[in-house]
Formats: sequence, C-alpha cells, structure tokens
Amino acid sequence: VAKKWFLALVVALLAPAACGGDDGGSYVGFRRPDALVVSGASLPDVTTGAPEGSRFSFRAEPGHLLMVYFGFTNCPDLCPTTLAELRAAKRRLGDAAERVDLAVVTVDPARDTAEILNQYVGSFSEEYRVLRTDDVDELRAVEGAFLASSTIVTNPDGTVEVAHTANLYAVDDAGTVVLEIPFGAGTDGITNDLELLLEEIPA
Amino acid sequence: MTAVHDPDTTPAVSPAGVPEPSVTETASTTEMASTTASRPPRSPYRRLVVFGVSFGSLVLAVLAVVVALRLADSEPTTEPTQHVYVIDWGTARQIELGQHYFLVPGVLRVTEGDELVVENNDETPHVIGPITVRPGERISYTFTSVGYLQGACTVHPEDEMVIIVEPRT
Repeated sequence: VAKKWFLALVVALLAPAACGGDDGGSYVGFRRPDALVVSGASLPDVTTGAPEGSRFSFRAEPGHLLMVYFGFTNCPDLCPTTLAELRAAKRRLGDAAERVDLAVVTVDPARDTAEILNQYVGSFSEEYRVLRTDDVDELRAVEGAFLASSTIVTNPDGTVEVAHTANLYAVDDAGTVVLEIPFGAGTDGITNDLELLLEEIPA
Repeated sequence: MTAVHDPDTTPAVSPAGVPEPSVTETASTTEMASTTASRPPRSPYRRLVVFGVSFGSLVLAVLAVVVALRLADSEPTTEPTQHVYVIDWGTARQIELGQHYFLVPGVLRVTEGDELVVENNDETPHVIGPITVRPGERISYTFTSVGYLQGACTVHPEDEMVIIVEPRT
C-alpha cells in the first residue's frame, strides 16, 4: 500500500511539470473578432507581365494565402526587414510555400515606379504582385479597407519622411483578412503563423 | 519491567509490548558496530524508526528532484504583464479640441511575452503602435520578440509612440 501511495505522490508531483509552460499552437499575429473583408478593394497591377491596365483584387487563389504588405522601396528598415523575414519563413515552409503569395502596395508612388517596384520586390520573392496607383484617394480607400495608413512629408531640405503601417496581412480566398502580423514578429513568428494558417486552409 | 538485560537474549519489552531502550542496549549497539557476530535482533520500535527516516528521506529526495526539474524547465520567474488601454468615448474629439491626452506613455517599455490590449469605446478608429482598433473593438497582441518599435499613436498628443520590448530575465 505504501509503495502505491508513493508512486501516486511522484506522479502527482511530476504531472504539473510536464504540463506547464508552452501553449503551442497559438498565433503570434492577432485576429479580430470581426474580421476585415477586403475582397471589394483592388488596385492597378503593375507586375511585370501583367496585362496593361489590369487590376488586382485582394483575395487569394483557392487553397492559397495572400500576404499583403504596404511599403516603399526607399524604406531603410521596416520594409526590407519584413520582406526578408517573409522570404526566410517561406523557405522554412518547404513545398507549402507555394501556397503563400505576396502582394506589395507602394505607399510612395511618386518615387516607386513600376520598374523599381518589380526589381525591389523581385529581390525578395520569385512570385509576387506589385500594386501602384497615382490616385491618392484610391490608395487611401484600399489602406482604409485594411485599417492601414501612410503619410509622406517632404522636409524643407528635400528629404522625404514616409510613415506607414508595417503589418503583414494574411488574406484568404474569400478576401477576408484572417490574421495581421505586426512588425517585430520575426521569422520565427511569421513561420509559426503561416504554418498554422495553412493547416486551416484546405490545399 | 527489566532495566538491564543480556544483549544476546530477547530485547527488553514493556508489558504493553513496546520495546524499551536501555543504557545497556545502547552500549551493546556501539559494540556491535565493530563486530557483527554479536548483533542483537532489532526491536520493532527501531525498525519503525529506521523505516520512517528512510521513507522520509526518500520523499524529501524526490521532492528535491521534482523542484529542481521544475525550476530548470520553468519559464522565467517574472510573469507576463497585460498592458490594457481603454479608449473612452469622445477621446478623439478631446484631442481634436487640443486637450492634452496621455492615455499611453510616449515610450512604452514592455517585456517579451507581455500583452498589449486595446479596447476602443470611441466613435473613431484608434491606433496604438501596431494595432488599429475600430470603434467597439478589443484587440490584444503579445510581444514575442525583443525590439524597438516606433509607430503611430492617436491617443497621444504627439501622435506617435515608441515601444521597447525588453528581454524577459
């Protein structure tokens, strides 16, 4: 009897140690109780090879995830870091990376020509879409759909300051923003979230 | 009751059957350490004491191992903090009227694993760092990596804020 009681004691003491800690399976990014729907938004598609005058709607291909990012090519920190982290995360995904697409919207169309955009985003991803409009209202409408924003201030000395939302938006094939990943999640965080999202979406 | 007895014979036992230690018995035990040949039979009382001490030691040892394992496996000692900011109705209007409003510090220091929770009860969307919150919405975000974030903040007079995420120690 004493032996059995002793074993029970050890099991009881060890059990919390084994169960504590990691609560794996949770997203690094955040989801809204009432998800954003961006399927109605679209912008001119200036990706190399896209038909002249075509527009891109913010929805993923069936079984895919569309990662949307608002940025600009002269960005010194947030944009290259985020795009590099996304590239690294996709490499970790292996074959599943084929189901993750990327669309980059420039918030600085005055300096980001179609050619510059293609060259820049193409250095981070083989498959991508680059979206650009000279119509500020059109850009604001799309930013508003994502609850994103951007401002450009030209200083008296000619330097340009651009502020913009630095989140990565994961959009599904219905045009719903299923997850927002803020800057700072890092490669580990992005990889974690993409893996979880891809599990949710049937291939 | 026998106070002195022969160590080679049955140990002294009280009328109630409880072994009775004696001066003579203690001496014979000391002697026994050097010669096992003359070892007297152990009393039930001593067996109980030895078992009790052994069992107690074993339990303490197991407890020590368990505590050590848990300490080695556990998360850092400091618990994550929840930084909750509730934006009241009329906040945007107050700011628009030029009233100073310091709901969020200009520099928010958090620790890895801390959670930022923003509840917007105002009539317009608000931005606090990486989170844009619509009216009536409550969003939470956990800082998972160390870093320095500079971003917009619509509930701060200077319209921007810095978030410093420090490592958890």
